[in-house]
Amino acid sequence: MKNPWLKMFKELTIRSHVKKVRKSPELPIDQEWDKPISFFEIKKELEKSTDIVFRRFKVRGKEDVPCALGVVDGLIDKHLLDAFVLRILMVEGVADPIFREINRKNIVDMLLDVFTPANEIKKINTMGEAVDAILSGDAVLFVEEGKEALVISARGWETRGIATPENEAAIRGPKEAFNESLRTNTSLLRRKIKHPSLRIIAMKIGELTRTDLVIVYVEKLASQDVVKEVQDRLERVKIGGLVAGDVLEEFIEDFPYSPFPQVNVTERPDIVASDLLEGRVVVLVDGTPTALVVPATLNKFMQVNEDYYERAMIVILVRFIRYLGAVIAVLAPSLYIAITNFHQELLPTNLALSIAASREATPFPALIEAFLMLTVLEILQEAGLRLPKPIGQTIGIVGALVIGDAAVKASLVSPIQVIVIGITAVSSYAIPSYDLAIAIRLLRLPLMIMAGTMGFFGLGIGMYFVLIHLLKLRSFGTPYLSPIAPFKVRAFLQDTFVRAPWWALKKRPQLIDIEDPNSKGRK
Amino acid sequence: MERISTHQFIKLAAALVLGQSFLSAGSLSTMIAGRDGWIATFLGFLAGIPFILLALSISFRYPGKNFLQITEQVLGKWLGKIIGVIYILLTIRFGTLIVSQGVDMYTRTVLPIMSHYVIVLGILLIIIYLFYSGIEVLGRFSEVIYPIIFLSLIFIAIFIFPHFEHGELFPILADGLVPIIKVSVQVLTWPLGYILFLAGLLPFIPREKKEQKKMYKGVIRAVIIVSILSTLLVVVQISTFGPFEAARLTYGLLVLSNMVEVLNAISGVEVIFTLIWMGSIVLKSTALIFAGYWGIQTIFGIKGKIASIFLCLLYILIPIWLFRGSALVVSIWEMNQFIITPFVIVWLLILWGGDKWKRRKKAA
Repeated sequence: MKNPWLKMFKELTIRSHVKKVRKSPELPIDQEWDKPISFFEIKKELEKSTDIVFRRFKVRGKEDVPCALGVVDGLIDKHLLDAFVLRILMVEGVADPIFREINRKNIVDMLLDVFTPANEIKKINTMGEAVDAILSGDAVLFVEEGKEALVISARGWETRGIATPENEAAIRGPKEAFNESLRTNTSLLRRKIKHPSLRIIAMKIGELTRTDLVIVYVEKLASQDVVKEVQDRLERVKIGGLVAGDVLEEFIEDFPYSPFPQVNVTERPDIVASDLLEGRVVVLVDGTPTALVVPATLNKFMQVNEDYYERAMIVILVRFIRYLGAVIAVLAPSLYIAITNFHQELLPTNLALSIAASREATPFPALIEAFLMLTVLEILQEAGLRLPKPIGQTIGIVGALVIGDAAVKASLVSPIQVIVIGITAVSSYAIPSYDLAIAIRLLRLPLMIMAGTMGFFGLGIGMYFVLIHLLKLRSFGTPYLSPIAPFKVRAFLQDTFVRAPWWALKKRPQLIDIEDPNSKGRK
Repeated sequence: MERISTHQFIKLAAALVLGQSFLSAGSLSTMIAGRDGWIATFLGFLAGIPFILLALSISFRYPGKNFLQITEQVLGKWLGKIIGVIYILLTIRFGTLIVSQGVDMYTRTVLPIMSHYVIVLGILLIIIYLFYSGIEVLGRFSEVIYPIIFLSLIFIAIFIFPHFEHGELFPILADGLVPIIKVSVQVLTWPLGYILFLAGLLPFIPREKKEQKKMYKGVIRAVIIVSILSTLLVVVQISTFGPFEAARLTYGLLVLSNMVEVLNAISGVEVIFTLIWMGSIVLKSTALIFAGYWGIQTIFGIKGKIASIFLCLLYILIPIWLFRGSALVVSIWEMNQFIITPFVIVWLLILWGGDKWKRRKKAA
């Protein structure tokens, strides 16, 4: 019973996207991707870029064999290459009697087995592999007229160190965040889960960028169906250039036209490690300091890592405040509009009179007032977000105090309206996930219009629509409102609105479909 | 194929047996049984349990088939088709009556001057969206909405307690058993109305033996809880208004909800309750659209969009022209009393008898 118009629209947009990708300029090398290696062709193609260097030398064995080392300057560890490749092949190896057995036929095998003490080395035989390796930061050792080459891992480029998380600050718990290096990020996870069942599958995406990414999961905990689905969806991604992993979110989510986030994005390795142990699947992309975690449920967006570091009683209170904040952030302006316009009987008489008195001088109905105030608030938020910190704070103060005060004095808006919008803004900051907070900002306006035109009835229709939409959503097969609907008692009592004490978490809470729900210990 | 879990099946059963019955249960039961209306309500709901269990037991013998397909198999093609057509007409009529009752609830109370076209369209938009979202979403919707409706009704019962006049409930059985039996038969319609939906839902429920046992127990538990809740609400209405006033008020519970007052700060919250109860109307009407849709699919073989668009159009058009006010309540009462109750009972018994006869014949 899928909407045919939506289906057609999706097909059209996907088709146009595919066309765009096809039209993008193709590298000439793409056409010869599977050809056997030819050093001179590769050199001709790549040496136009000044950062790609081919160091030519001769290996003096039984006969002189001309060789070359292809690298990208800036992406390799020069000291490592000098000490363990060039020095041995050009100087130290010559003294070895076995070295003197080297000729054109056996050179690749001899170097692979005996004379290259690199810890990661492999033989390749196609143009594509060679170009890919050089551009990814590996060193490729060519025999000038040979059909095979050696890829020597000597990657070494400047990266940002492991810093504290900027967007997910916490008082308790680890203070490290992912950075832009894929290998550093996987090592952060490996340090937390020292078990052979932690699987890391590598992929490349982007026709031009050939960006490295990995799918991480814990075997037996993660559903193999979900892992396969993640892999399939990533393989289907057709994009010219992938410069940041966040782009993938839109490609792999189940409902692209929903305002609600369906992929959890985090910069904290401790959260990702916990998610892996809950059976979730993680995607890490080279050059992106955040991880994409699936399946994501609404409940997950309302939790933070500190929920598991604080004591259970505290967490219950904090979560209650967070959920209350979310409800206020969605409904406060709409409720105010519906009550003042349609259902004044809900207010105690004194409050009703006070609101009526405060609104006496304002020229606009409550809906327009709220709309004006929220527009200003959104502009201030957007302006403050991109500015340097000190200026951003000033903008906030100017916006909140000066404009608000002036608007009330000029009788443009009522003081109660300022309070309502102020509470709405503050409450929306209680939502831990930025993505969810944005979705809620998006929903606020239609709900306000419904409340302004039909009162509580309209608001009810809007809320039922949102509820049914949430019930319909799935993230990689997991219902978005799980464990509330479909209801799972254990998960609901252990880790949804409340968190049970650690000693009571004897079984995994089945927040998502996992293969081994009885394995003990949650994290 | 979509499926619902055992838990969802039980929640759906509870939510649909309760349906919108709580809105008019007070007036309906006290009209004939007076202050003993609560006993009749309790017994009427409980009397529905054997019928639901009978329907389930028949269906478990024909896994993956709905009641209409079973009827065709047991009673023959033509009798099956005739019953199927009646079934489709019944579900459409019943579903649209429920939508109209929702509209009536709003126009009588919180939105008296708003055009009823707007209210009909508003409610139907949600119903159609839920219908198009599929049976799984309906199951999840019941999981979320039923506890909220349940709590809202308990909330009213608790906060109206200061208004109770306990003497109103006594003497018990002053008019004998006959009025109680009469009302029980009327109340029986609500659980029987659920069987209309169950008849189409059967292919979507779990088929494992273990789950079937759970479903039997769960349905019994669900109906008992609903009967206790409904009885409590009738008791509350009789205790607060007295039997005569309770019979006179068409939607006594709405009046009660308006009387709720907490700490001099929360009062006149009728509108909030109508908002919550709209969920039960949406749930029951959507369930009946599904039933109608499955009926059309089975009997006429019309699948997909044509059947669903046809049904949605009917659901939009009929409530706009239907009666409102007390005429609507009478119409629902007549529908329940004279059509749904006899139809479901006769259908079930014929099917049960036919199935037994066929099995014996096969064994012989």
